[in-house]
Amino acid sequence: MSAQDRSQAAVEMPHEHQGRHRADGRPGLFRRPDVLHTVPAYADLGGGALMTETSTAVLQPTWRLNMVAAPAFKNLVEETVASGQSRIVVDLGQVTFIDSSGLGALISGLKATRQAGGDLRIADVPEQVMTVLRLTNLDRVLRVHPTVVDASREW
Amino acid sequence: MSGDYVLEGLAVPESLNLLHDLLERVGHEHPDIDAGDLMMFETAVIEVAGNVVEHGQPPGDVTWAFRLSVLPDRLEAQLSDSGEEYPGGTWGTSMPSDLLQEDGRGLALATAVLDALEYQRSNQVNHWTMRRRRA
Repeated sequence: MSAQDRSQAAVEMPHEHQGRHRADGRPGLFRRPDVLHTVPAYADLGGGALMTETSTAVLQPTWRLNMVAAPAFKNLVEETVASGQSRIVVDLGQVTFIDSSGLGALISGLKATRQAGGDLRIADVPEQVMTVLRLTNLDRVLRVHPTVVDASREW
Repeated sequence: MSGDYVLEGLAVPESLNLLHDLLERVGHEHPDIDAGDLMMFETAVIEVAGNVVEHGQPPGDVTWAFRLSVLPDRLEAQLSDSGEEYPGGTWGTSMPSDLLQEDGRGLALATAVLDALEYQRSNQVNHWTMRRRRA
């Protein structure tokens, strides 16, 4: 199994936190770090690949990340960092719209993770979000990755 | 201005989702509107409305009326609110120089995606007019 296959397998691996999910399906809420799991990271040490265990918290906001939803999302990031997870990937694939409040929540999360020695990355960014990131120049500070798997590598 | 679409209510965060819903309806009923134009217009509407929600005084008591017209050459909307007078000038219309600043981008973003954003105050009411030319 290649390194890429292993990362993919890890991301699709059933998780163990069913009880903590916000599973009511209501839009605008956030899944808890329900795909929070260990994503293998690989370090090349002189000709051999050494697998190290590193964990990534994947947060998946949905629908409109606006003034209504941003405070809860900001809290979720803070709780995730406080629980010891400072490497966070925000999967934006289910977000239909972001406003400046949502951007503020992402910036807040970026600062919180970095203060804790980690980072916050964004993945699967929809067109409206990408346009807004460019217009605000925030694409310079928020690292955009095509997929969650890409974003979960090489911290 | 007259409006093809009208929404009235309280300037509170939950009302923003009603504006989103209205813009979605506009898209369904006018499939000829370029999706990118509507997306950017929605961005501006939500930012201007969000600014009223955030800064409108007294908080929670400000009412607003939103009117939107789909014209052959442009999308035009006006948001009228009962809040206190906006400071005016260029307040809030340029992006923060500190990229890690968490707020202060709303009106700057609206300005960036519109061809015109105008503010007037008359009879104790703020009027925000937004225009975007259609592709």
